Amino acid sequence: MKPFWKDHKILVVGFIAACALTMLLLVSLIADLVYWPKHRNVEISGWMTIGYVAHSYDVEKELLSDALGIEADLRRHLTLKSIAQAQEISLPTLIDTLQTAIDAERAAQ
Amino acid sequence: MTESILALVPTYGLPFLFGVAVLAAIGLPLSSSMTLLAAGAFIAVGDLNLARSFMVALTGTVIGDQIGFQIGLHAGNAVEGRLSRKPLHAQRIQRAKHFIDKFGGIGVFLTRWLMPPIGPVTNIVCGASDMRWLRFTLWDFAGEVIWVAIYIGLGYAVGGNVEVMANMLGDASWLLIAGLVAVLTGYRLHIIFRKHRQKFSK
Repeated sequence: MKPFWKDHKILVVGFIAACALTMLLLVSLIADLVYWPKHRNVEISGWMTIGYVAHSYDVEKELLSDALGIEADLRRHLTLKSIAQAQEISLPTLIDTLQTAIDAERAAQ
Repeated sequence: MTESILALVPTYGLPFLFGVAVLAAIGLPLSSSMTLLAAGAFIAVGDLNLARSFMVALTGTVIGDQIGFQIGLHAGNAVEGRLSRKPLHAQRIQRAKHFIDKFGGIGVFLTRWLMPPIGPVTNIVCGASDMRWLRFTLWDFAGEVIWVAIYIGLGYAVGGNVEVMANMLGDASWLLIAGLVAVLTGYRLHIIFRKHRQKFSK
């Protein structure tokens, strides 16, 4: 009697590989979910808009636009990077300014 | 890389959303899920308009799916003409077509939002196996409505780190795909094994 699996090598290998991959992805997904609360807070970054930062850090938009000395509505769709360019300051400086304003607001609350 | 893509969402808005949706649906390696999550977050803060973003993303994806379907249709006819000369191949092609005929509709629907990584391939396969265009389009549209709603909705409601969230959703989709393959191959093996045993017990 020929071993059963010799006739169906591809199917057997496929089945084992699919099972292994399923387990691997399950573990990875569980790990992702466990660490999600830690990763949720994003660092302020150049692609964000003022509104986006305000939303992420749960502060008023006006607080941030005031900190940068700009009008909230005018700069609505601009990314932080383009605001830094327009103001001729470096992006890290601008992010520092925002972070300081956010920290001060949180300390005051 | 990710950051420069994300920066394009508020800067170029709807045209960018449209472009990514079309190209990703055809199968180019662009993360349309991350773009939609980011769009959802930008909608939440008033940088993008909800109704317009939804329509633009939906239209873009459906157009991309149609392009994939047409590619499959034309390439499929050419390949099939050659392969069908051999009887064994012709038989297999007929079996594949029968399978698509039976499960194609629900398959298209589910790959749209539950298993998006294999969406582009599904479009091509459906086109190549001459699935009825209207059937494909209706199931596709229904599935894409759910997909756009889920991803924009999650970006809107949860926000936060969209890159990590996109990875997580991608993992979840691949988990379902791998699980489905495991179940299908396992079931097939079970049937073969049973026949095998019956043959030898006689």
